[in-house]
Amino acid sequence: MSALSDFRLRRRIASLVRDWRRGSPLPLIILPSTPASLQFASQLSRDMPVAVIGSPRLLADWAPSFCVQARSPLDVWRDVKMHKQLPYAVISYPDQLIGVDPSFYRVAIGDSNCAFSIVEMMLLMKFRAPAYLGKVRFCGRGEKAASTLTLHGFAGEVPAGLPKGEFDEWMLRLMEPVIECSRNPHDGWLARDVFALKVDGNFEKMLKIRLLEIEALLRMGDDLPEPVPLYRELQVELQSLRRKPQLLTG
Amino acid sequence: MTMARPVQILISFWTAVLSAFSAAVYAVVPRLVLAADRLRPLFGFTWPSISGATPPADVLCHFTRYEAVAFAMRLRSRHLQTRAFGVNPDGLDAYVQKHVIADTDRMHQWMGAGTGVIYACPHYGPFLLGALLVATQGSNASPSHVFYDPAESVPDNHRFDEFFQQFGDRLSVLHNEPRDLVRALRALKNKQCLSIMFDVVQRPTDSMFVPFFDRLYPAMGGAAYLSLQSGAPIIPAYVVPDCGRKARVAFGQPIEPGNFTNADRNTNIHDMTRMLFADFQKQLSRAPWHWIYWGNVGAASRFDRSVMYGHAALVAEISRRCLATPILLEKSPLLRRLVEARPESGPGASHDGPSTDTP
Repeated sequence: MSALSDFRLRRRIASLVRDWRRGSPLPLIILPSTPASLQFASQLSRDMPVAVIGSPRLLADWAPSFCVQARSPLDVWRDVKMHKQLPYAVISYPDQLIGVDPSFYRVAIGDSNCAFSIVEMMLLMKFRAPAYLGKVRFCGRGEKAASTLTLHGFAGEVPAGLPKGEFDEWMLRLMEPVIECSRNPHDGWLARDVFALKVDGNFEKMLKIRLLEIEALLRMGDDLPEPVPLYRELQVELQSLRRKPQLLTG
Repeated sequence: MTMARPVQILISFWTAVLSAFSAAVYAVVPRLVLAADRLRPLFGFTWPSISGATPPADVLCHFTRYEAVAFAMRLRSRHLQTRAFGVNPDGLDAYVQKHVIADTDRMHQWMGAGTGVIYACPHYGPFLLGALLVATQGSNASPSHVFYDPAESVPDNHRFDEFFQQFGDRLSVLHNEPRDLVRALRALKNKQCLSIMFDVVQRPTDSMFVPFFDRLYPAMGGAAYLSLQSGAPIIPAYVVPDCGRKARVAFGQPIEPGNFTNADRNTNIHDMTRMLFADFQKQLSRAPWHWIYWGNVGAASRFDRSVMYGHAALVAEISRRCLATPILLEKSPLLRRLVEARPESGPGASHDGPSTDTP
């Protein structure tokens, strides 16, 4: 079912737009990647100012006619951090974001750890904006897979300076819609394959990509007028490091 | 028999009418789109994005009316590509002669040099017509080859496999796997030509990264490897839609393997691939609308361009990446030495410029 044909979602969009016109703080909306949630974001962006956090490449693949440019967490954070209130509603697709740097926080889910961007937590801590979690229900399989989306208000205010245990708890609560999708991955969940990269073992892949990037930078150093011998030695060391099957444990 | 003649005439008549209509649509629609785009500020509509993403904002800002032009161009490319799928082996030469404009004299010159040729064709415009042009260079005794990812990694390629296979011995399909890489090398050593799709990487961990639009973009070194091993030059080839339902193949600057003489083969492969992407960037800067993989550029990691001009900026850029992944410093003592000894001043040292995609 599309978001546009869903009466409850249309009402929700109307109510969000009404709140915005009345001057209420703009919300943070966390959604799993499904056709219905993309249509919802697309519709909302036509009616009010919205920034979408996600992967531009994936969104281009899944929804070529998606009318908002997806932005990176860093991009959005840099843009909003000087404001007192969110200057636009933020729609985040945490299941599309992959990274290994400290801005990704690893939360234990079942037997494995999963890395999520902390941008949503930072936005909530700083702006105390109203937050909504989009929960999806799937039906059908394969090409007939369809989903319905419902928005639920997120209760409670995230306090600043949380101890680790509590941070994990809040993170798990915020990421609940995405984690729910990962528990029983359905054909209609678009981030099904991408989400796998967020899980522990796939961290290795990301580290190897980072090594390749550094190697590429060092090769640019070869073009400089005064060559640095260390660059060449380092390239060799990084190549051998990259060839190790287990970078983290090896 | 008496009934068959009028039916044939009727069919020919309607075929001619449809063909004329299709030609008119091909010529008129882009003009209509561009004319309608002038009304956009009044009505505030947006053009649908067909076949691919838009460039990232820092690239997009150099092009006015990108969406409308892209929409018009891609409609043309889609039309040409769809028609090209209808070509059969008997009509191949006539079709290419009628619908593909290319400097065939230069192609014969490259083929006559006695080394084989690698045409590096990205997913740019109606690229299928470029492959058909390469197919016409082949014969049953000396076939041409197209090299791309197998359908196991890109399911849509199954359609291309089926299409190309109908040309039998004249055009062979080689996939990106070790066995076919050996076949490709053998073909080049036999002075045959090969078309390779070089702009998309399925497994970034097995690739290299080259500078591309101020980003580190994942690239495969296959074309460069084959060139170095066989001595065949790499010819960048870009297919763009042209007037009169034709496609034009524009050739970039040939990359000769003989110019890369470093003792380290990996360095040569990297340098050649970098040159290939630099040529592609030039073409994209002239006409960005035809490429369908701009989303990959948006997703690639940005870097500070001044790393190409000074050690301090280079070390600062590397340090920034290492600080984001501290485990790499633990694993590589030389990397730690480089980062810890970095100069505190100098260009780029305190640079707060483009960063990774996360806060």
